[in-house]
Amino acid sequence: MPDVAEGGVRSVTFAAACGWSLLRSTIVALLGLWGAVHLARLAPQQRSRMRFAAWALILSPCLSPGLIVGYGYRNYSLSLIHYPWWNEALYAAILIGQAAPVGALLLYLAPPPVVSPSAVHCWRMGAAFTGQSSISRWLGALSMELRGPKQAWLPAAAVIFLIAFQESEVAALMQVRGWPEWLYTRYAGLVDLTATRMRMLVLVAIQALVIVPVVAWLWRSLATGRRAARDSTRPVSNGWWVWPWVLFIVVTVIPCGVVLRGAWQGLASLGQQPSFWRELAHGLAFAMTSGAIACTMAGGLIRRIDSPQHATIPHGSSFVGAWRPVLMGALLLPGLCGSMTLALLVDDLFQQSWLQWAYDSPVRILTALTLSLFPRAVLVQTCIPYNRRTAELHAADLLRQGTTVQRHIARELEWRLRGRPRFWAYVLVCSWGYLDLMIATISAPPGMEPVVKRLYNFMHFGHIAGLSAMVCVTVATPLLLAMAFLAVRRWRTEWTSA
Amino acid sequence: MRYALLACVLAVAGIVAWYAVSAPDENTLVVYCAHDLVFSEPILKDFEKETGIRVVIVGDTEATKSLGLVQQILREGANSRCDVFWNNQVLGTVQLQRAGFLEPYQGPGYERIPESFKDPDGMWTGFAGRMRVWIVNTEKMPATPDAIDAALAASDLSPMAIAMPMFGTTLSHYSLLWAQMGGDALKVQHRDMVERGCQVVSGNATVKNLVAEGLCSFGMTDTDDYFVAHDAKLPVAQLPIRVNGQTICIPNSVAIVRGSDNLEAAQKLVDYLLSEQVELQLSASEARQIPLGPVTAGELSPEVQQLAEWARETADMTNLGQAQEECLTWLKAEYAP
Repeated sequence: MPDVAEGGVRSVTFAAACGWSLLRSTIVALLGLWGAVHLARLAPQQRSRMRFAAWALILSPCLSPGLIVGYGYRNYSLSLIHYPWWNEALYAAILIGQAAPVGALLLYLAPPPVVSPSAVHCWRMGAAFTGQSSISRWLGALSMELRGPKQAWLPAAAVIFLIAFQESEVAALMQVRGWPEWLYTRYAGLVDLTATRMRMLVLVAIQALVIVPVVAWLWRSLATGRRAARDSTRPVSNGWWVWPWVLFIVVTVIPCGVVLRGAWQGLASLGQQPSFWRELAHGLAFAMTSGAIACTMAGGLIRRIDSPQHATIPHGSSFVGAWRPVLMGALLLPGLCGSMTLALLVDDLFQQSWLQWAYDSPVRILTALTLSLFPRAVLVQTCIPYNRRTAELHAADLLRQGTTVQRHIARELEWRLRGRPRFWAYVLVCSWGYLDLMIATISAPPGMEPVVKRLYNFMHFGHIAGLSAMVCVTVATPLLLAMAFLAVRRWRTEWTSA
Repeated sequence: MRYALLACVLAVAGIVAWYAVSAPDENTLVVYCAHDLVFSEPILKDFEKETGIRVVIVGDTEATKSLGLVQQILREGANSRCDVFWNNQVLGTVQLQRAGFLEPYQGPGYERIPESFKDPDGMWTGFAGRMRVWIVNTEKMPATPDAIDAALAASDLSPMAIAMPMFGTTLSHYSLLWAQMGGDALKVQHRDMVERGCQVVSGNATVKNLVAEGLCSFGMTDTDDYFVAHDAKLPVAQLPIRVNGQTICIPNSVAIVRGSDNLEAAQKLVDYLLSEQVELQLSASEARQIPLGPVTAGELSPEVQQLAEWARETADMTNLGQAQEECLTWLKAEYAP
């Protein structure tokens, strides 16, 4: 069978496509972990005022929408058609840029290790005198390290691997080979989906294996020390600041620059496209609804695990206690399998006779989006530090029982400590759902297609001013809405206090 | 938590209200449309204005042009909400016909289209065609048949690009080759091209981009994609692709899906799309589609008149159903084994 053209679409088997994705994701996970370890040490070295800016810089590549990154590099990627390995390397670099910051955040938020660094040191000293073989000493040291200071490395590498393995939007626009391209081609081209379903299960199984350490980490992080973010870490040289800047430029600045080029001229044409605005509204409605459900579910889960009742139950002491991580894993698994696999599975589910009534309704897309956003909502809410400020929250509780003015101050304090972080977490989660291409393409009901599908289709025609304008408006809309909400809230607060 | 639950309830209530307003009701026509929405949407909106019949458009993704929607109708089966299928070619529509998914209709629009572009039983009707053409970067090579023959005979075919033949008009093109050359000969030819480095990319628009940017010297695409580069004043020229001396004109096709809840409105839309007005509108668009039925003299631009001349020499694209099925089976094994 002819395997290849030099570039572009290649004829490959599922095993080859999957193997290629696995190899790429493994390399990205290893290099990304190495980068994440250093990135995680950079921000805590800053003074508290600069820390927020440092984290914003570090995390900006992973918050850059795949659609923009893919669009930004599409033409350059086409120019590499005679050099597919360079294209592959560029794609891998972008993946590292998008995934390593998430790994860094996980490492930063990791609960304190079960085995302290001092204990590891003592073990090493002891092992030197026991006469063990070098291999068993090395394995022992590795085991101690993974339970000790490096205990978050495995889940961080797993998350980086999952991000790289599931990525499909940038890959589609840069025409990079892998299982998403293979699966989508087969899905779009075949009626008999039995074989495709079997292969989707293989993909789910591969990802499920990797998801185990992530769920274990999340469980431990939520149940024990999730807010024990470490402020003291081994210092790194300031030279490492080059990397977040490079990632910021490569993954965020360049694609945004490409999108902005010509956007101004294209804005005028948007007035003549009512469908664009309608689809924008559809995308927002789906994202806001599924985001609200996912955030509420995530909040409920975290609250349940955090509850004093739960804290008094030793792990595994009851049937419910023992099964909680499994239940949590089952809830997180669909979303952690990636948008494309999830959308195809949900589509399949809604083709069953007992669910066909909902096939053409928003239930299908809302189900897919909610399941997809749920793990991210859990992660984002895990990162919110509001409960750490117990003294301030207690003060707000006391003020609530006071005079009208004090009650007003209490409400404002509560908003700043709890409401505002939650609000931004909600905006972030909704934005992910709003820009999810695969779910929009596969699961949208007739007549209610979200705007990202239109953008993706137009992106195949190359760079057009009108398209740049559409992308800008699409990406800016959730931010503008959030700002508008905050402005209205502020105006209302000032008005009531006056 | 109370507020979060309240927000959830409000959001769900909001989407229910939104759905109640936006969702297709019994009087709405659901049109699955594989033609580029840039061109098709204004026409369908004009139909809405003229008739008062609401139209909901379901588009395809660019990379899987038309095949995705055909497979969607087949997958949805009797539960499909599609009333009218506007395909940007014929073959997928023929596949639906063979599977028994179409409803015959022979209205005034059907009558004005020549026999060679419609199904004799009225299951589907073609309109507004486009040509398969060689797009040539004029800074890289001359745009002549001899230059293309010489480039095709070269040992290195990496300057050539084609769209993945599993989808879109390239599938129609390959089906014609399958019917005329035979499957074995086409397989040998395709593998030989690929082994010599021919770039197989995701769609005709990408082929156009590669050639227009000078990354490839020539490639196979459609006239509508060619004109995008031409209008951008990029160094490109076109030549019709010929198979055994005949050109390849691929019409749009329109068909009513069996079980449509809104048959009368569907028939109105079919007649509207097959009208002279719509054919002229599509010929005047940036895509320069070729009217297949009679149109008023002098209404066509010189470019479209040239295309119409080429279209008169077209091979019969209406009778390739069997060839397409066999060709697609091979391509699926080749590209998604």
